[in-house]
Amino acid sequence: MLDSAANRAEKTRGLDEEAFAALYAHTASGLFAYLLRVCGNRDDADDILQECYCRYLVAARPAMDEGQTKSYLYRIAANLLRDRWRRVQSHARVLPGVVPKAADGPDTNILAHLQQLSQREQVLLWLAYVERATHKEIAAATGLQPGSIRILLFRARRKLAKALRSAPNESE
Amino acid sequence: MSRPYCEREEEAARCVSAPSPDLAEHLKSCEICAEVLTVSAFLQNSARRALAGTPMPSADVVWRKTMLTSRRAAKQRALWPISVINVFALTAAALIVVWLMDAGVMDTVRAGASEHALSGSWPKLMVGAAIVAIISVAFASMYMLWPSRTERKAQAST
Repeated sequence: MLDSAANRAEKTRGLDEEAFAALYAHTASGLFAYLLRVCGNRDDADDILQECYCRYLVAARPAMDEGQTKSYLYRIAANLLRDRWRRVQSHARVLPGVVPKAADGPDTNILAHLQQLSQREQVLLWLAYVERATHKEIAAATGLQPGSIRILLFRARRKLAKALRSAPNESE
Repeated sequence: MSRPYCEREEEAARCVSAPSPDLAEHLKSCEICAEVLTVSAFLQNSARRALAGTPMPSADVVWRKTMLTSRRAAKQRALWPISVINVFALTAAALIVVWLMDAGVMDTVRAGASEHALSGSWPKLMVGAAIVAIISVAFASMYMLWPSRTERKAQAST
């Protein structure tokens, strides 16, 4: 009975399993790549991705187009990443040396460049240049004013470009 | 650089792999578009490399996990009024015991009370119990009939 109640609740929001699969196919890869880059490990990225979609499906939300859905998902992801970061910080305080670092590998330089940016700058640049989101969608994802996106994007871009200029092979 | 944007930066972000000759010419003189191209190429390459060889969780797994979470939430919602009524009933019972003790009924009962002594307190007790029962039933009925906040929002949005 509870199972059918959950299914019914989902159907009232206009999304059954098939529609969800289509939505997931359109939106998940960019978000997953972003989470992999920001978290630096697959397990955390997996967990956060799944939690993002769970929260998206369970939330009472108005009808959205694809761009708005992406913004909504990135907003959830940003909140989850912030929670994770706080947890990692408190673990690092309580158990120094226990918190694992991202493994060394061919992508270590990419991670190092991204980690020079704040979380807000990372999501701004990712939405603008990987997801090709509009300023309005970026504002919805980050909770910033649409009018301030252009200048914040400019500053974040400049910061990353400066870091990349010091290691030019990464931009190719 | 006097301004933080260029009219052609969208185009520069789109044409990372093969900028048109016209755009390539523009890139030589526009620092903003050159930056956009560098950053876009880096981030898009970074996304491709992140996904290469890293399988994503399937939509099916995420859907099932969500259904499980929904069921758990529905169960909690269903059990919530029961726990509230439990607390309510326990509080009412405690109050009634205090009231009975205050009225001296317990002492009277313990001492083998006369019919006359009880006749003053029991009607009050019955009225009290009836009020508690009515409030409990009203509360439970209201819960059953009132749609949840989630359902109301979903109805409003459709």
